[in-house]
Order: sequence, then C-alpha cells, then structure tokens
Amino acid sequence: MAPELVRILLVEDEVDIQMVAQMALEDVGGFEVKVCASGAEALEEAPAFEPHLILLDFMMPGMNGTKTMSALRRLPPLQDVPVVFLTARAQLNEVAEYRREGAIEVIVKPFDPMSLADRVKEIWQQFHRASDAPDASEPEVAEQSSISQAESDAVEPDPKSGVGGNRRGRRGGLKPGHDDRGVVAYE
Amino acid sequence: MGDGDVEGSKWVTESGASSPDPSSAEKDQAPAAARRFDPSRYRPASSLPIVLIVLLSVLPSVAALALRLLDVDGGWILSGEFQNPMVHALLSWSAAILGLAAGLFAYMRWRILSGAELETVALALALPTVAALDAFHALVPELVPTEQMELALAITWNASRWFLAVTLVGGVVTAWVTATSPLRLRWGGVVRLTVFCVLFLAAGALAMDLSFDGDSVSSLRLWELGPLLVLVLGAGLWMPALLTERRHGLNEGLYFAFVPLILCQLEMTLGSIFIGHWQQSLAYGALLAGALVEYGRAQKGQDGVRQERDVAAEELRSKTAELARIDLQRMVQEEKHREAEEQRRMLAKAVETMSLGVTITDMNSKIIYVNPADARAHGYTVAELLGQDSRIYSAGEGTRRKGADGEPWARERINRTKSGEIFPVRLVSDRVFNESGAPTATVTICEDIRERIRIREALERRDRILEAVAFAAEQFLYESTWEASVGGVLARLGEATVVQRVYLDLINEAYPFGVDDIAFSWCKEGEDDGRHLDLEDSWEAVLRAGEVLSVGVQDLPEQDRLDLHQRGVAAFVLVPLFVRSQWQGFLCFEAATTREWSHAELEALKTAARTFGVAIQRRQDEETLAASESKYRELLESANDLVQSVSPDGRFQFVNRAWKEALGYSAEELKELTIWDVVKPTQSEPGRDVLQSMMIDDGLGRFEAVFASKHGDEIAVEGVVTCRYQDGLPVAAQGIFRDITERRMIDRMKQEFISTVSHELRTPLTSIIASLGLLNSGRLADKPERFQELLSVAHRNSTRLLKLINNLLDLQKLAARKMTFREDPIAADSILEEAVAGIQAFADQCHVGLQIGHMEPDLEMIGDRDRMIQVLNNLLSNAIKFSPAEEMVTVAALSREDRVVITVSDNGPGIPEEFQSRLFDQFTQADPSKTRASGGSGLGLSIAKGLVEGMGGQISLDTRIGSGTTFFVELPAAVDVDEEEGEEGEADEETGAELGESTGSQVAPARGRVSTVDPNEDETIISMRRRPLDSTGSG
Repeated sequence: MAPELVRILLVEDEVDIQMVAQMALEDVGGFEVKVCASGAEALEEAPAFEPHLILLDFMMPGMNGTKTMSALRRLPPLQDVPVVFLTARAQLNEVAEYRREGAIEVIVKPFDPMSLADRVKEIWQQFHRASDAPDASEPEVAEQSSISQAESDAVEPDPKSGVGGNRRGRRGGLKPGHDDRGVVAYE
Repeated sequence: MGDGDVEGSKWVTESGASSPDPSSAEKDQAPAAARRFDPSRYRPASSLPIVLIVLLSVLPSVAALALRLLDVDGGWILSGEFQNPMVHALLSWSAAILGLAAGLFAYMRWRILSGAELETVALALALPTVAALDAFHALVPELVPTEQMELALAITWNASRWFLAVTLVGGVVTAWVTATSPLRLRWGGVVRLTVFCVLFLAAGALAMDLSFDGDSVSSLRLWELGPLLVLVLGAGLWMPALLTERRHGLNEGLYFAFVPLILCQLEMTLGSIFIGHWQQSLAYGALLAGALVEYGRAQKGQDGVRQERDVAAEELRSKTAELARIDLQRMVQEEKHREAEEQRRMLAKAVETMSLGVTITDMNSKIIYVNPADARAHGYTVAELLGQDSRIYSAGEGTRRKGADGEPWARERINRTKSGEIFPVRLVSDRVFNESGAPTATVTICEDIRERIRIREALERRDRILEAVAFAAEQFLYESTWEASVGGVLARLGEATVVQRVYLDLINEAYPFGVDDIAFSWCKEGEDDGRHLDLEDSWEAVLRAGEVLSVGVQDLPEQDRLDLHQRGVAAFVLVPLFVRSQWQGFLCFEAATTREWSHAELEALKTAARTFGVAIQRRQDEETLAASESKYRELLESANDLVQSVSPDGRFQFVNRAWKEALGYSAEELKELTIWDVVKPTQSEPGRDVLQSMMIDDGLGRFEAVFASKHGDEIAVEGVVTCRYQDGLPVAAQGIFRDITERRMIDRMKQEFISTVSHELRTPLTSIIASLGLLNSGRLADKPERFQELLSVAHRNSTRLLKLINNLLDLQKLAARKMTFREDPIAADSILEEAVAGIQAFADQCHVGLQIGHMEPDLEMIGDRDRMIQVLNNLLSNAIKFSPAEEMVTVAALSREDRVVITVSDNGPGIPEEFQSRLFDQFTQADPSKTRASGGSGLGLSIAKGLVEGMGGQISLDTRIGSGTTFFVELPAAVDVDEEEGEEGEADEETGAELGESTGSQVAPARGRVSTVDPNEDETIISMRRRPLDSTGSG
C-alpha cells in the first residue's frame, strides 16, 4: 500500500508556470508544494523539505532537469524519491532520455490544472505498486508491470482490454489522453 | 626218379634252346638284348619290397635261434609237432601249380629264349617241382605206413632239397657257360658263399648240440647237410645278381623265393618245424607277388618285343629321312646357286642404272669398275675411266670420316669434272675382302650433294630468320613500348636475312601514334637516308593479296633503277603486313646482291610480318584501352560522389579527387593507409565484418558508414559497395558514396528547431491554459485576489506567444526572401530617440541606464523605419538584459564614408569567441536551458541580422570579455537629404500606416508594436550573449 503523498517539490524557472502549477497542486490537489526556480535552489531546499515526489522542469538556467535529477539523487535523503518531469520539451527521443536518466514519468506541458493533481497521485500509486513488485529495479520494467497489474485489478470486465496506455487514461478519468509511452499529452 | 626227370628236362630245355646256335641268336638280338638289360629299365621304383621280404625271412630265423640259445621254452613254435598235414600239402601243391603257371607264362612271354630267359624258365620249373616234392613230403604220414614213414619223410624232403639245390646251381652254371647272361659269377660271390656256408654249418652244429635230444623227427640230420650246402652255394651265387640286376617281376619273385626256401631248409635242419614251414609259405608268397607284378606290367603294354619292332621301324624311318634330307640339300644348293647368279645380274643392272656414282678400285687405286652415272657426273665415258687412278676426280682434300675397320666410311669432298668444274660430293666407301680376309678392292659410292647443300643453306637462313622472329615476339611481348623494341627487331631481321637495309612502311591509319615512321628502319652500314620505295599499283595489289614480292633492280624501269643502284641495292623483297586482316603496309628488305629467296625463307619473312602485325595491333589496343580507361578515370575523378576501390586486405586501389579532399589525405598518404585507418574506430569492427561478408556474398546493397578525416572530422557517407571478382576470387570492393554529413547536420538542426519552437510555443501556452483553467474551474471562488493575478498571467503569456509567432513569421519571410522593405531616408537622431523611448521602461525595470551618445548631426540613412526600430529594440533589450545593474547602455550614430553606423554598447561581460560565429543563427543554443532562463527563443539577433541585411546594411559586433560588447549596424547613407526630406517624411508616415493597417489583422502594427512593446515581454531577444550572464548567475 502506497504511503500518502503529501509534499511535492516543484522545480520550475518560469514564474507564471510556478504560480499556476502551485495553485493546481495546492488548491486543487491539496498537496504541500515547495517551489524552486532552479536546480541549484532545489539542491539547497530539498533536503530540508523532504519531498515525497519531485516535479522537475527540463529547460532551466544553470542545471537542466536531468542534471538536477542526478544531483538530487546523490543527496542521501532524496535518492529514492521519485522524479516526474513536467516539461514542454517532450518529443519521443527526449522522453526516452528522461526515462533513461531515471524519471519515473513525464507530464507534458501544457497540462490541465484541474487534473494535474490526480495525475500526480496516480503516478505515485503506480510507482509504489511497481516498487512493491518483487523485481522492480528497472524503472521501465516497473512501468510496464504496473500497467498490467493495474489493468488486471481495475478493468477486468473490459473485453477490449489489450496493450496500450489509453486504458489508463480511461480508468484514471483524466481529461488528457495518455499516449503509449505513458506521456500525458494535452490533446 | 621223378627228380631225375625233372632235372633232365631242365637241362634239355636249356641246352636245346641255347646251345645249337647261341652266337647267331645273340647276334640277331643284340640291339634288343642291349635294351632289355638296361638296368634303369628293370629297377623297381622302391627297394622297400626287397627289404620287407628279407626281413620277414630273416627275423623268424633269428628269433628261433635266439630262443634256442637262451633256452626259452618256445612252446609250439619250437616244438616238433606240426599242423594239419592236409593244409601243408595244399599249400605246397598250390605253390607247385603257381610255379608251373609262371614257367608257362614266361615261355609265352619270351618265345625267343635267351640264356637269361632260360634261367627264369629253369627256376620257374624247379620251384613247382620242389613244391610238389614238399607236398608229397607233407602227405607222407598219411600215405605211407608208419614203419616206413621216417624213411619216406627223409627221402621226400631230401629229394626236394637236392632238386632245388641242383636246379639252382645248374641254372647259374648254365648262364655262366653260355655267357649270355649279365649275371657273372664273381669270385667275390664265391667267397661270400663260402663264408655263409661255414657260418651255417657252425650254427647248425651249435644248434644240434643245444637242442637235439635224439628225437627222430626233430634231430639234426646230417644227410640233410648235402643239399643244404648246395642250396647255400646256389643262393650265394644268385644273391649278388639279385641285388644288382633285377629284370622283371617274375624273375624277382623267383629270386626272392629262394631266400625263404634256404632258410626253410635251415629251420628244418635246426628242428623248428613250424618256422620252417612258415618260411616255405613265404617263399611261395614271394613267387606269387612276382608273378602278379609282372602281369601288371605286361598289361601296361610295355612289351619288349613290340618295342623292338618300333625301334626298328623308327630306325628305318630316320635312315630314309636322312637320305631325303641329303637329296634336298643338294637341290637347295643348286637353286641357291641359280638365284645368286640371278641376283648378281640384277645387282649389276641396278649399279649400271643407278643415279649414284659407283666406282670399284683395286688396292692400287686403279679403277676396275665405274658405272655410267659416275662417269657422266664427272664428264667422262666409262671406257676413259677404266684403269685410271681414282684420284683423277679429286679437286682437293675433303673431310674424311673413316668408320671402324671393316665398316664402310663416308666423307665429303670437292670433285672435279673432266672440264674442270668442281662440285661437292659425298663418298661412301667399303672394302671387299677375299676368302682369306685380305682386302682386294674398294667400292665407292659417290653422291653429288650440290642440291642438298643448297637446301641446307636455305634452311639455315630460314632458321636465322625464325630466330629473329622469336626474338621479335619476345621483344614485342615484354618490352614496355613497341617503339622501344622495333629498332632492335629490325636489326635482327636484317642480320638474319643478310641484307643492307630493312624498313617498315606503314600506311597512315595503321599507326596514328604521332611517331615518325622513318624511325622504324635499320641500315647495315652508314646513315639511313630514310628513303622509301614508291609502291607501284601492281606491287600493292600483290601485297594486298598477302603475297611476298621479290624484285630484282635490273628488271625495273631505267629511272627507278638508277636511284636504287646509287644506293647499292640490287634486289629487294617486300613482305606485306596485316593488322586485323587489313593490309597496313610492308616490310622491305634491300639486298646488295641478287639472290634467290627460298620458299622457306619467304614463309619465315611472312611470319615476321605477322609478328609485326600482332604487335601493332596490340599497340593500338593498348592505346584504345588507355584512352578509354583515362576517360572513365577522369569521369570518376571529377565526380562529386566519393569513389573508392579497396583490395580485400583493405588497401586503397583508387580514391577519386572528391573523396581524397573529403578525407584530407594526399594520394601518397593513402597508399600507406588501409580503409581501416579512415573508418571511424567505433565502426571498424562491424566494417570488417561487412567487408568480409560482402567479399563472400557478392556485393552489398546500400551501405552507411562514418569515416574520420585526417583532421579528425567525421564524415558520414552512404552509398553502394560492389565486389569485383577475378577468377572467382574477390579482388576489390568498389564503393561509390555520398557525403551525408551535411544532410545529417541539417536533419539534426531541423529536429532541434522543431523541438525548440514546440517548446517555445508550449511554454506560454502552459501558463495561459493553466491560469484560464483555474479561473474557469470555479475553485478559486474563495480567493478573489488570485483572479487578477491569473488573468494577467494569461494575458502576458498570450502577448508573448503572439510575439513569438511574429518573430517566426519574420524569420520565415526573411528566409524565403519574401519580406519587403521600404527604402526611405531615416534621420538617425529621431530613430534613436524613438527606440530609446520605447525600451526605457524595460531598462528602468532592470536598473540599467540608457543614453544617446555621440551623434553626428544631420545623419540620414536609407531603410525601412519600422524594421529599423525592430532591430534597435532587439539590440537594446539584449544589451539591457546582459548589463549588470547600474551600468549604462549607450546608443550612438556616426557616419563612415557613404554609410551610417549605429552602435549599441553595453558594459556587460562580453561574448566568448567560440560563440561569436554562431551568434546570429536561429535558436542559437549551446545549452537550451540557458536560453530558457530569459524566456527567449534565440531568434532576436537572427531576425535583426536578417532585417539589416534586407535593408542593404550590415550588422557586426566588437566584444571584449569582461568589458562589454558593441553592436554595429551599418546602413547606406541617404545622399540627398536636404532636398527631399519633407516629402520622404510624409511618404514614410503614410506607408508605415498603410503597412500597419494591411498587416494589422495578423501582426501588430509596426509602429504600435514599437511603441507598445513591454520590455519585460520581449523574450525573443536571445542570443549566445546571454550565456556569460547566465554563468555569472544573473537572469
């Protein structure tokens, strides 16, 4: 059973986006959100904040998203904290790169402010389901297994259930569609 | 009684047959007798039967004697009691009948009785008589009363023994007397017999002493000693003959029968009745065996008489044959003689008529015979030569090759005819010997060899020419160029044909290689004058027909003759030359003397010409090939594609110019390299596999690889590689590549551009959508203070989005050269003021001062005012952003020749050199996240550059790390400022308004944009310049 998701660290350099994302997470989702404008700031603030999950932009001054993530991972209290990328730079190869670097999921900008919090929660639960699974060392594998597990739990009666990420969207009730790579795209 | 009869008959028989005319009988039968007593004919195959009989006879006697001596109780063996007398009698009678039969058989067999046969007949008759007496002796106890029995036994026994003994000795004596028998009584035999008798007597006496007990039957009977002695004597006489000469089975059986008979007597005398009788039976058995053996032999047909007849007939035949043979020999000899005579006549005729000369001389060299041919050849008649010395012919010493003694010898020499003419001859001589072996004459055959020598010389000349041809072929094959070898070849041909000069005359088309054909000649001595024969039409026709032309100069017309005579040419030969079956010229051989050219020589010259033809053909082919090859090579060399040919071990065989340039290596450097040296290291291993599999699988379709140039640049190529094979083995991998490095880079840039644009568009959209979404959700009803905030976020980002889109459109127009520019005079001071005023608010916000610096008066330039404002806005906002707080940004304007230069200077950190070259590129992002820091998309400077250049100006910069950057914008100066200022100003405003209105629906009006742009939102102005600021932590 996944622990409750309370504290989210948001690393985002765009002031406007900081504001709307914070509102979407705090006011809509009820999370406790700490915003950092750069990777360097995140490295300073995060250990004290002890986030349950980190939302990370990629295009930032100074350290970019992946560099920030690997730096955060080197901090002992943060090495197991899941990182989700929240970025407008999300072409296929780029998403693959984030995953390779260790992101558990990618949320593509622009996002729907009303469902962002749900989406984060869902990712959180999937992540924990995957890490409860016996051999969930590899994030991609974990993702795959979490899908199939969630599938069998929740959508048993669906006769059309096959392979693909769209079913997750239906099940989660999210407005944005989910493409096959688990990227949430605003369509 | 009976004894006497038998005895007498024997003697009668013997004497009656042999004595009347023994000599004549012997004479007639001499050859037959000689043959009959041939020992080899009568010797049995084995001595085993003799040995067996002797042993069977002797052993029981020895046993009996031994038993007696040892005084062993022998039981019935030694006892005097005997078996059934009837059996005894039957046995004896059987023997008697058998003996009689044997006698008859012998008589029938040899009707002509000789001494030897008499022996046999005597013995054969004696034995049945003895046996009959024995039989009677055996029946005595039955037939005679008991009181007379003793006497009867003794008498019968003695009578039989005596008869036997007398017969035996009598036979011997008869044979001896007649001397016709080969059985000669020898003194050695007598001695042996005597010894035997003494021993017998001694033994008998001993036995008597030991065993005789006075019993009547088994006691020693002295009266028996008489016949015993005679018997032993007879045996002694016979035995040697028995051992040395055995004639036939019956005879032998008789002889052997005596042995047991004698021993039987001995046994009886000793008293061993049983053994004695046993011995007797054995004697008869031997007789029977002999008869059977002889009968068997007779059956085989080896009949003596018939053999004699055959021999006689044979002798007669041979005699007759001998006579016939002698007769035949005589006839043959006569025939031979006739034939020899005939042969001699024929030989004489042959010698007379033969074309070769034949001379026979005696030992003094006088000619004793000469045939007409020889005389004719030397111009004499036969009569003139007979009796002459043979040296009359000789004109000098010749070679003399003498063979071994007694063998013919041959030599060549020069002979002289009667008229003094000399000519070469070949002589073959041989001696004739008489019966005693002394030489009597010499036969010499003389052959005129003038023709032969002529042919030989012609062949030698031909061989020399052919050698020259071989030399030519070798030269043409192995010399690098035809021109280099042709001179030597002509010289060799000239020497071989013994001519003054040889030259090659080719028609023009044959040798279009720009070489003066006069070079192809050879002159024996002196300078070559290079003169060629003018070919007459008739000659050319002959040459075209492939025939050789031999011309004597004296046959030519006067004018031609003169010229050739001056050059010392007496005759010449023209040999046609063909290339690919086309007549292409001729070889000319000029000789100083007239001479006949043999067919063989001319054929050899034709061969020489053919060699030339082939060589010229090859030369032409080489030229064509080289031309064709250089054509293709040039094509490949000049191709823009990258062409290479690589050997299976990776060495470069060919690399074209474009590929060499791309790789950066010279041709010499490439010779030392392999393909693996230029393939990018990471691709080397798979590359090897590819090459390997390609060599095996015949070619490979498309191929992509990355190479590394000499300078370390990567060169991505794609192309096709094919494998070239020779004799089934791969010899080269040939590749044609296209450099796709550029294309790949462009692809990557496009990709990056799309990524960046997408990101730049999405970023403001994120804020807009999120803020509007929040507002729209109604969730913030309890927080009205957020409403305004979110609305301004949405508005701000919408503006930013619009600006971005405008920038992109501008860029697109610039790139497509579709942007139109007005060409108005612009006053420098006014436009600078306008630009500064427009950006002042942003500068204030950034705490950066703005000032207008040096300003030359009345400066005017030609350009589009709105675009110029846009450029200045971009440059100023950049400068403000990258200036530290409280620093000044300065704009100024100055004139430089026919140009107006506007400068924008800041005191920022400067732009690193490595970024300067890319400063004006679109989305210049070494690190995109840094661009993002200022919210720009990297289009500002790019647009500024495009605009300035569109107005016919230039943009440049001067930057110093740590002290600041200055951008220079140059535009053409307005020439006639004063005259048209007012009108142009009006027009400017109008045009500007028009433009603004016309594009207003899509883009913000140019003037409005300038005036209303919020510097905070001008995030499109990005450049690499921002990076140093980022690195210092600002922004």
